[in-house]
Amino acid sequence: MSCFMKLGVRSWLLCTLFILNFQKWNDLKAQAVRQQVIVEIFEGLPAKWDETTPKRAADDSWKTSVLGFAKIPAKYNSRGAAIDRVAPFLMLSKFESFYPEGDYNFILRSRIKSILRIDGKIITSTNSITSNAAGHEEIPPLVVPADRRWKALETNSQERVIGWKSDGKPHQFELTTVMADKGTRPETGELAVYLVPKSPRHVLPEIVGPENSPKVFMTDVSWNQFRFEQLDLISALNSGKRRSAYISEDSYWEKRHALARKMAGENLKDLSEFSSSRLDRMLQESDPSRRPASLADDASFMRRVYLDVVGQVPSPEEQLVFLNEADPNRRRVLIDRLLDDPRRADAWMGYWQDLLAENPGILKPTLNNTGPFRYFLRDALGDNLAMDRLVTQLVQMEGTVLGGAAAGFSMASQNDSPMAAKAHILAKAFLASELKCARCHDAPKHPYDQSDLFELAAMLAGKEVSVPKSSSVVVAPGARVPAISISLEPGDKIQPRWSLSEISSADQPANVLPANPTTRDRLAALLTWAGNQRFAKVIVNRVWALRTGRPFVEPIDDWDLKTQTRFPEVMEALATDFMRNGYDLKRLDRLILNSHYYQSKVVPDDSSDSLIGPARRRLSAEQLVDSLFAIAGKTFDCEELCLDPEGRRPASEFISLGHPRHAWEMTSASNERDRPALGLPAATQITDLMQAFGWRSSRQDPLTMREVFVTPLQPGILATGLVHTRIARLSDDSKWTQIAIEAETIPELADQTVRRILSRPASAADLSDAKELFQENFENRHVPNAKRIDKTPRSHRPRVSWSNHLKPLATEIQIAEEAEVRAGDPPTARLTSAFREAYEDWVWALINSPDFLFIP
Amino acid sequence: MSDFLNENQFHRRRLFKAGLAGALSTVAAGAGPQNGLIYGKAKSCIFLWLGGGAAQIDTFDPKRQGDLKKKPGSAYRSIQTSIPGVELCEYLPRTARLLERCVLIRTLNHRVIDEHGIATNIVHTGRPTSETVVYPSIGSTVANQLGAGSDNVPAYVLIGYPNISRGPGFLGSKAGYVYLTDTKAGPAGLSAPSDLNSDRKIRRDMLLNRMQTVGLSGSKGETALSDYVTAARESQRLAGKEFGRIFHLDTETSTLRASYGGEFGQRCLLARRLVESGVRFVEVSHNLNFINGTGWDTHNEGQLRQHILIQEMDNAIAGLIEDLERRGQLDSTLIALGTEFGRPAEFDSGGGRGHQSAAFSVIMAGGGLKTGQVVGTTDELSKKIVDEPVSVPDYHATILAAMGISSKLELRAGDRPVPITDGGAPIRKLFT
Repeated sequence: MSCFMKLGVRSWLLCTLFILNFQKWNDLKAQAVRQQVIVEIFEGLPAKWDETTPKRAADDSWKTSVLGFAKIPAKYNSRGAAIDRVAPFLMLSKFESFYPEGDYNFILRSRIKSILRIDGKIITSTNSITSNAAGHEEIPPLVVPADRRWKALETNSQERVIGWKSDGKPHQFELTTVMADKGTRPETGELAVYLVPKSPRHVLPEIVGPENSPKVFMTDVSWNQFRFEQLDLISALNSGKRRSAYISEDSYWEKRHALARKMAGENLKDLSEFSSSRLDRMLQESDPSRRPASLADDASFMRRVYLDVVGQVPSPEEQLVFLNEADPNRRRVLIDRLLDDPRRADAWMGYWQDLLAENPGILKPTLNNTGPFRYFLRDALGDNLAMDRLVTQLVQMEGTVLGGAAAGFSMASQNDSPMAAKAHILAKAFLASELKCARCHDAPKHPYDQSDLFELAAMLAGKEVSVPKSSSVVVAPGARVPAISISLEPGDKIQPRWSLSEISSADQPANVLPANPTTRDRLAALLTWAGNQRFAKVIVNRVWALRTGRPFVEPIDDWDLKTQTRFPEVMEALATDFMRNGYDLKRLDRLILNSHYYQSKVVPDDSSDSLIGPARRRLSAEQLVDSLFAIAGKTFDCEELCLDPEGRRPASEFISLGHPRHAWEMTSASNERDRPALGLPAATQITDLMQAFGWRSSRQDPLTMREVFVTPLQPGILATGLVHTRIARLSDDSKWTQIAIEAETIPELADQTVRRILSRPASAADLSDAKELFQENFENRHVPNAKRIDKTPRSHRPRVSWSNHLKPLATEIQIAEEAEVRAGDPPTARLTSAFREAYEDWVWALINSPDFLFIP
Repeated sequence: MSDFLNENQFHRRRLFKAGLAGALSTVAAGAGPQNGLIYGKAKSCIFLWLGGGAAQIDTFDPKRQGDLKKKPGSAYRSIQTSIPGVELCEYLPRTARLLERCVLIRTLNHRVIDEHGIATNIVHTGRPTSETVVYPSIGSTVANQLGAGSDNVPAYVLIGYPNISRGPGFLGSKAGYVYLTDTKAGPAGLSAPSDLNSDRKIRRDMLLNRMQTVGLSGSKGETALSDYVTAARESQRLAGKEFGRIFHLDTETSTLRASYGGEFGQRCLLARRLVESGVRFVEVSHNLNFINGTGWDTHNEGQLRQHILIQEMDNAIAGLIEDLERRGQLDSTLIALGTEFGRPAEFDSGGGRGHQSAAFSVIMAGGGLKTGQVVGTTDELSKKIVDEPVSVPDYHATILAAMGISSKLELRAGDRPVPITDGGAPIRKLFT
C-alpha cells in the first residue's frame, strides 16, 4: 500500500512537472522564434515534391543564430551511432525580425534548391543541383565581385539578388532547402541569405538573422570564421544528442564495470588506493639498483605535457597561467586542466587512425579504403567514452559507412575479405595478437592458425565466411618452397567461433552480453570483458609507451613475440586500476602524467648513470604541424579536402573531409591518376611535411610505432617547405609581424619569440643572437603608411572541380596554384626588408633547431 | 631513401670515421650470371609513366584504321620501323627509326579496367593490394636493392605527383622517392628556396648550426638527437649548389634541348642528368594534361588532340635514346615505359576510347637488352593476346633483371619474406 502511495505521489509530481515544463517550453519556443532561427528537418521528400512543407512533425530540429549554414547536425540511432538521413530531405529554417525602413537587396547563395519566403510569400529561389559524372564541363568563369572585399560565389553555386523594401515592421523570414538531392552528399556549401542596404554602397552584405544575432559578413574571412564556429556549435549539439541516445545503455555498462571491479581485485587486493606516487614507489621497488632521474624543470614539463595531452606547444598566454599559478600542486592542476581541454581528443587522433588503419580515400574508394570513421573516434575520445565501450562500438560497426560512424570501419574497398582485415586490426590493436600471417597461412612464429583469423572474421560478418582466393601461398616454379603450413583452402567455409580462449575465456557470466546478442556483440564482449585482462594491459602498455617512450612490453602490438618486459608488476597494477575504474582513459593518463617518472628528465637509452626515466621523443607529424600553425598564428587555409567541391557527386565516389583545422584531419590527395588538375597544392605542402615525419597518406594496414628512421629529407622538408613559405614568413596575417611591430626593445622581441617557439625564456645565447641580428635594423624597422598585403582570398582564385578537371584550362589553373603555393604567403610591407629578413631567418632557425623538434 | 637518404650509406659514412666500413658490403649492379639466373648490366632506369592508360592501338600496336565512330580500329595510319615488318602509328616517326634500339612488348596485361587508381597501383607494385602489407613500387624496390650511385643524390626521384602507388610500402622511407612537379623548382625538401639569396642562406645555416651545437651539448648520448642533427647538416649540404646544378637544364645546348621536344621531353632530359649523377631510378610522368585535357585517358574529346601527346612522347623517347647513345650511356641506362592499361579498338560515343587491360603495349630501350625484338602478338584489333603474354610481374622481373637484380630474391616485410616479384620471370629472349 505504501508502495502504491509512493508511486502515486511520484506520478502526480512528474505529471505536474511535465505540465509546468510544457508551458515553459512553449514560452521558450515563442521566445526562440523571436530570438533564434528554428531549423527543422523533414526526411524522405517524395520524388515529386510540390514545394510545400510536409504536414507532420519534423524529424529533427535545432536552433541556430543566423540564416546561414556550413554544416548540419548528425542523426543518431538508439546506440549513439551516426546514421544517414533518408534522402532527399527538407531543411526548413525560419525566424522573425525587423529591419529599419529602407531599400535593401536580399542575396541568396545556394548550390542546391532553396526557396526564400517572407511572411509565407516566395521572394526568390535557386534551382536543384545538377549532378555530374564526366569531367568535361566548361570551367565557369570566375566572377570577382566589384567590391573586392566580398566573397566570390563558389563555382556552380547560384546567387539570386532581389530588391526588398522594409516597412520597419517585424516579418517572418523562411528558407526552405532540399538537401542530398539526386544522390549527392548532404552538404550545404555556402548556403546563406544575405541582406545589404542599397545605399550607402560600402556596407557589406550580412547574413540575416533575428535581432542582435552575430554579424557574419559576405567576406572570405568572415565566412571562414563562421564556418568554424558552426562546426563547433554543431559538434556540441551532436555531443548532446549522442549522449542522450546512448544513455539507454549506461545501466548495462555499469554492470559490466561492476564486474570488472570485482574481477580485477582478485590478485591485487591492496591496490584500492592506487596513485601516481604509489606507481613511482613500485617502479623503484622493482629495480632498486637504479634511481629515478631528477624532475624536469617547470618549463620542460609544461611543454612536454602540452604536447602529449593537447598535441601542441603552449601559447605564451597558457605559459603565463601555469608559471604564475600559486598552487604548490600546479603541475597537477595543469594536468587536470589539459585533460579536460577539447583539444585532447584531437591529440589522440593520429594514434588511433594509424592503429585502426583508418584510410578514407577522397576519390572513388580503391586501395583498401575505409569510411571516414575518424569522426566516430574523435567523438568517442571527446566524450571520454570508457575504452571497453569505445571498442564495443567499433566492433558493432553501426551507422553511416561514408558519413563518419563506426560503420566506416567495416569497409575495405578492393579487398576480398574485409572482415578478415578487420579481425587482424582488432586483434593487433586490443590483444597485441598478430594475425597477419594467418591471412594466407598458419602463422609460423605465432600461436595462430588461419582458422583463428577467419573464425573472427565470421564473427564480424555474423555468418560463415569463405576463405578468399588471395588467402593462399602460390609458389612459383623453381622458387623456394616456403616454410609454412597452410591449413585452409580457398573456398573453405568457416563458421563464427571464438578460438582465442587462452586470451579470453568464452565462459562468461550471463550479464556480460547484452540481450539478444549478435556475433559482433559476442566478439566485442570477448575482446573487452573483465575476464580478458590482456585487453586492459595492452591499453595500459600503449598509453605508457606513448607518454614515456619506454613500453613495458615490446613489441607493443605483438606480445607473442615478447622480447622484453619491463616492470611487469607496474603494468599489472595500472591495468588493475584501469579495470577498477571503468576503463577510463583519462584516469589512466592522469596517473601516468602525475608520476615522478613521467615528469623527470629524459634519460638516454644507454644511460650509464643507472637512472630510470622517460626516453627522448621527437614530435609526431601531427604535433609538429599543429604547433607550427599555432606559433605562427595562422590557419591551414588549404583547399577543402575534396575533389568534388561543387558537391555534385555521391559519397560512394567522392567524400569531403572538410576544411581542416588539425593535422589529423589531413588526407592524401589520392592522385593515383597523376593529374595536375586533381592536385591539392596547399594541402600537399602540409602533408609533404607530415609524411616526412612518419604520417601515412594511406593507412592500408594497422601500425603502432611509426618509422622513426632519420633521413636528410626530414630536416630538408622542414627547412624548405611549409616553414619557409608560411610559418616563418612575416606576412601580414602572421603573429611574428604583430610581435615585430609592437615590441619596444630587442630583448622583448627576443623573449616573446623564443617563448612562442620553445616555451622558455630567451637564453643569453638567444639574446646575443638577437642583438647581433637586429642592432642595425631594429630602430628603423617600421615603414610608415605601408598598407597590409593580404593573400588573394581563396574565393577570388580560379577553382576546378571533378566536373571540369579534364579541360586543359583546369591543368593550367592548378599549375599556377602550385606555383603560388611554392611562393608562399606575401611578406609584409610594414617592416623594412632588412629587418624582416633577419627576423624571418631567426624564427626559421629556432624552428629548425633540435630544441623545437624534440620533446624536452 | 637513397644512398644519401639511405640507412646503410648514412651509417657507413659514420662508420668510415670509425674505420669499420669494410664490415659492410654493398650490392653491385651488373653482377654476372649465376645459378642460371638472368642478370643485365643496366646501372639505372628511367621509367616513363603514361598516366591515364595509353591506347596501344593508336601508338605501338597499330591495326587497320577505324572511323572514330562505329568502325573499330586505329585512329591513325601506320608507318614502317627499323625492325622489318613491324609498324608503329604515324605520329611516332622518330621512335620508328630507332625501334631497333628498343624492345616492343605488345602483350602486357592484367585484369583491372574499371579504376585508374587500382590499375596504377598494380602496374607500379606488380601486385594486388593487401591489407596486411603495403607493397613497394618498382622504383622503391630498385632503390632498396641498389641504393644511389653517389653520395650526392637520392636513389629514386619522381617527376610527377606523389602517391602511394609510387611509394616504398613496407621497405620504409629510406626506399622512398623525392619528388618534383616543376623541373625548375627542384625536388621538395632538397632544393634551396629560390627566393632565398645566398647571404640569407649563410645566415640561416650559421644560426642553426649554433643552435644545433647548443642542443647537442645539452643531450649527451642521445642518438635520436645527434642522428637528426647529422641528417640536418647533410640536408643543408645537399640543398647546396652541387645538387641544384642537376636541375639547370639551361646549361645544355639549345639543339639538344630541342631534340627532346616539349615539357615531357625536358623532364626526360632532366632524368638523364639525374641518372648521370647517380640516381638509380627516375620515374617521369607524362601528365601534362593541358595538351588535351585528359592526358592518356582519352575518353570522348580527349581523343581529339591525342596525336599531339603521341608526338610529344615520340620526341622525348627518341631524344632520350639518341642522347644516351651519343654519350655512351644507353647500355647502362634502361628506359622502360609504363601505363595503367590500354584502350579498346572501339570508340565511345564521343569519339574517344574506354579502358582495356587484356592486352596493351610498352617499350623498353637500352639497358644492355637484346633490342630490336617484338614480344607478343595480339589479334586483328589488338583486343586479345595471340602469343607470348607478359604479366606485370614478368615485366617487373625483366626490369629488375636488366638492372642486375635477381627476380628470385626475397624482400622482408618485418619478419615476413616477400618474393621480389609476384612470381614473375624475366623475358628470356631479351637477355640471351
